[in-house]
Amino acid sequence: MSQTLSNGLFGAIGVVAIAYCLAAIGLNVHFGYTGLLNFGQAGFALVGGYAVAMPVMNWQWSIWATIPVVIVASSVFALLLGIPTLRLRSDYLAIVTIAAAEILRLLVSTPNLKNVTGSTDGINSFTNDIQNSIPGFLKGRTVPLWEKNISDYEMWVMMLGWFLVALFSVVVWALMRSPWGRVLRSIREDEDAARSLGKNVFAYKMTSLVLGGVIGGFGGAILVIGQRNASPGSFQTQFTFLTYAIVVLGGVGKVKGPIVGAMMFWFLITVTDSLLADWTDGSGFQLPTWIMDSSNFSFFRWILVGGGLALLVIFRPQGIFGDKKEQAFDVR
Amino acid sequence: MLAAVAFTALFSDTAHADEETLQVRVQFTPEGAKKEPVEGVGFTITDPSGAVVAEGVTDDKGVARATVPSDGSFTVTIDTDTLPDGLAIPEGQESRTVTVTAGLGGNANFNLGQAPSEPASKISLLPKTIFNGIRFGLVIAIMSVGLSLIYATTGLSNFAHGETVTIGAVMTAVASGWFTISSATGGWGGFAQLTAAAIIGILCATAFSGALELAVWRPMRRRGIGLTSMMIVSIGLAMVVRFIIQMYYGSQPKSYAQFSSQTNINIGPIGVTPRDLLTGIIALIALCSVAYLLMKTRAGKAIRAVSDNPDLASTTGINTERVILNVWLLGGALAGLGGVIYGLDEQVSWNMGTKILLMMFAAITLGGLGRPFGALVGSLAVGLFVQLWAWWFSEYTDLKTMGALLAMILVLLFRPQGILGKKERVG
Repeated sequence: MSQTLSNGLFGAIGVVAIAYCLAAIGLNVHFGYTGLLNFGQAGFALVGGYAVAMPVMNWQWSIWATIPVVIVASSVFALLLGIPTLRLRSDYLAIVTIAAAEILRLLVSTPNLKNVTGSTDGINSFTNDIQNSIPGFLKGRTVPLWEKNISDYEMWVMMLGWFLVALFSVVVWALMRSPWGRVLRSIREDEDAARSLGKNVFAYKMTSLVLGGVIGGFGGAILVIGQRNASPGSFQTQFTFLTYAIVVLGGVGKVKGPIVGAMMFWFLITVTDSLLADWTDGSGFQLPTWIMDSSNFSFFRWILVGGGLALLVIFRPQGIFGDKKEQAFDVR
Repeated sequence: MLAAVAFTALFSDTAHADEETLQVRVQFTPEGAKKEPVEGVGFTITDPSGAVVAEGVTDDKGVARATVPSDGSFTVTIDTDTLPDGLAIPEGQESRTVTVTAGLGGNANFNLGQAPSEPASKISLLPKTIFNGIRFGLVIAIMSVGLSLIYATTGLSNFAHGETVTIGAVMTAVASGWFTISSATGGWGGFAQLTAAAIIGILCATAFSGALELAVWRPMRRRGIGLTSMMIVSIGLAMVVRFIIQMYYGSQPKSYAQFSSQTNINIGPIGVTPRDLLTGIIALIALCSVAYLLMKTRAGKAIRAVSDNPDLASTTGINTERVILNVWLLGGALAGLGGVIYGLDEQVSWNMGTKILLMMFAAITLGGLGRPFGALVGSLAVGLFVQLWAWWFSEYTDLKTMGALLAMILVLLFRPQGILGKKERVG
């Protein structure tokens, strides 16, 4: 049991949770504050991830030099998505963003571009600079977290990741208190009212899309650095839906929402996976095999995520800690 | 001596005790399917001196028994002219030397492969490509008409529609093993069996779609929950259903039990299997029926009235809720039928609906969101675009769905209301 809980704890603060947390901060800017239905956050994360991995692998860049590439590439992607869709009804943006994310995933999966993108195997061995930058007090040690040992590399990426989470949370908090953030929220509440006050709604939506997209791009970057592999499998449509689940769970339109949401989400998922693995491994307490067995228990987490998302949206759309006044659903 | 004669008589139905039986078997293994016998393949058997000692033709089990005059080694040579169209024997394996043992006989097995497609000129493949595109478009159309009608009447982009498609196909695959009308693979027996299973599959898809409306969407509408929430709920439900299917159906794609590979029949420049032709015709008939229903019947007119303006429709005495339920049932049945056909084209897998869902959205967006005939036009455009992409960029066929998605984004850029959409402000 303590094994399960320490796994869950690691899940809650580990690299994957950080990556999804960053993606959720970005999505919260889009969906929570501006009311944009971005269903392509996986695409932004993919752009960020490959913007780190590809220059290092193909042109031997230093990984630190790819930081501006992440920013530029995700901004360009946001502009490409926003120009055709931000003037249209919100469901057009939803369909176009989900399609664009899928286009990118197909592009990096195709065997024809294997030398550039690594196809479905993805890109490995681009993280040497991170490995070499591990500070002295960590190098060569493992950090115990209850019953789980965290390697020096993982710990270092986690520190970098939580730094980014803190940085972007503060940025978002400050921006949303500013006049600019108030306009965003007024667009969410009533776009026509904002327009009638002379605000350029299109430009505000576009900057929101770029800002959230760049944060999502850094989420993808942390994900590929943490996994030491950038592959299309990490950026499927599910990525976006998990991010939605995290935003709704933590509270829509709240700065702490994505952080709380990501930690709770990955704690629950890891604990469930761990318990189900224990209950289907053939010793001790066992679930009946007609319900699930060791070959199919791992799909249950997705059923849990889907069902949880649906129930939350129906019965508590503001999320666990959200504020009913701030919820972004159906304001138009 | 007598005993010896009786012994050979018991074990050999040939007159001469020295003669041995050589069994020749010719098979073909389609990609990802079971081995299939190949009928009507001629062969000759020669002895080491090169003299022909026997000839034969394989029967419907792909087997032929030939009698050779003695034991020893013989060479079996396949007559490549008798191979069915589309099949070929790998280079250098046309003949095989077999050892025939006294009393046991011998075996020669041949495995055929796909014939290397002749480097046909691109232009000669165009009619076939267009035919395939229209056919694929029809299949997408029967799936997306429901999606479009649901959008038109309720405003919901139903992400669970892909799972309705999957349920149609998966339940057909499961039901095809429940009972036996005919154990045959292929042929009319297999067709009858598969039809019965398909009806069960389509009923399941219809029931699923209707049950969602009654249990989820109608109560949500009554509570005044808005469309964005409902859209995200449909994503959640789609995930639940999709992974339940994966848990209990499995991750491996399967073919229907009655599936067998067919040879092309040629209609002008277009070679098409009877199966593809039949399913294309079924899709066309289904679409024509839906068009008739929408344009000519009272129920169809009510659907169009509700999709134009629900409030106005209900003030004229149309039972809006009843119409919406009908739309869900109709959409579910069509999606189920589409799933059955798509499961014949590809294999039946747990995520087939999710894979085609984006194509469906692309189709209805291209045609104009909420226009029922827009879904048809958009689907044909998507189907043609996918096949033409694969034809033109033959090196990049894995990106063919990408082409359709790109086309959708480009159309939105220049004609945001879609091909058939009403010109109105959509922002």
